[in-house]
Amino acid sequence: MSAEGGHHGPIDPLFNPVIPGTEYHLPIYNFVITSWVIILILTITAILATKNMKRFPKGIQNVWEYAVEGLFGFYGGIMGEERARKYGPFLTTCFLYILLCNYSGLIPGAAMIKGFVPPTNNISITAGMSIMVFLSIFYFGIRAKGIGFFKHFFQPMAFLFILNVIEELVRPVSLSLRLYGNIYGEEMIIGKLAEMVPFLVPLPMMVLGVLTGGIQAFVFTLLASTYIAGATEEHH
Amino acid sequence: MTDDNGYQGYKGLGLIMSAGFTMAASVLFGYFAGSWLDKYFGTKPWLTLIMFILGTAAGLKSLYNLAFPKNEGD
Repeated sequence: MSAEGGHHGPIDPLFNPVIPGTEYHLPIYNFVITSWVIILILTITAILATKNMKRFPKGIQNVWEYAVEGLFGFYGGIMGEERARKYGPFLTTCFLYILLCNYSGLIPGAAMIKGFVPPTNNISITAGMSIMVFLSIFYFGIRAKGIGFFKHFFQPMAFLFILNVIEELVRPVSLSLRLYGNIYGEEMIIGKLAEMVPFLVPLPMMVLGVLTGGIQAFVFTLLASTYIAGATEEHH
Repeated sequence: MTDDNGYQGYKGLGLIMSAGFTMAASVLFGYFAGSWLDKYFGTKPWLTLIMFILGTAAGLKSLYNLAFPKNEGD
C-alpha cells in the first residue's frame, strides 16, 4: 500500500513501450496483464479439458463439462435449444471471463498489491466487452434475418423509431456501467477496509464480493443473451 | 426441458435486478447525448431538453418491453 491514495488512485502503466516507427506510447496497465493471465488460464484449461476427452469425464474435463452444460441449459431456456448451441459459445466465454475477472480481486492478499485491480474494475474493459455484445447483436441479427433485422426498429409503430434507436444505444452503456460500477464499488470498500484493518474486518465485504462477482457476471450474460435472442427471433 | 422452470426463475430475477439501472442509464444517456449535441450545434438548451425527454421515454419503453416481452404470440 502506498501513501498516494492506496491502490485505487491513478496508476501508472507497468510497461510503457514506444510503438516502433512512431512517437506514440503503448501503455500496458496491471489490469491488462491480469486480463491476459485470465485469458491464458481459460485457454489452457479448455485445451487440456478437451485434449483427450473421455466418455466418463474426470478432473478438469468434468469441471468444464459441468460449466458448459449448465450454461447452455440456461441459454436454452431463454432462446431455445437450437439457438443456444449457436450463440452459446460466445455467451459462455463472456460469462467465464467476467466471472474470473471479478473473482481475481478476491485472491488472498491481492488488495495489498499496489496497482492490482480486477480487470472489470476498469471502464475500458467493461466498455470493450459491451461493445462486443452490441456489435454481436447486429452481426447475429443480420446473419439470422438479413435486412429484415432492421424492421424491428420500426415496430410496433414507425414513429417509435427514435426511441428504439436510443434503447439500442443505451444497451452497451448500461451493460458496461453496471458491471464496472458494481465491481468498482465492491473493490473500493474492500480496499479501504483492508487499509484500515487488514485482518478479518474486510471478510464480510469479501463474502459479499463473491456474491456480487457471480451475480454481475450472470446479469451481464443474461442481458446479452436476451438481446441476442430478441435480435435473432423468427416471427412465425 | 424439464428443469426450465428453475432457469426461468433466475432469468426473471436477473432481469428485475437490471431494470433499475437500465432506466437510470437511459435517462443519463439522453441527457449527455443531448448536451453533447447542443455543444456541437450550438443550440443550448433545446437538444438537451429533447434528448432528456426522449431518453426517459426510451427507458420507460424498455421497462415495458421487459414486463411484456413480445416473443410470445405474434
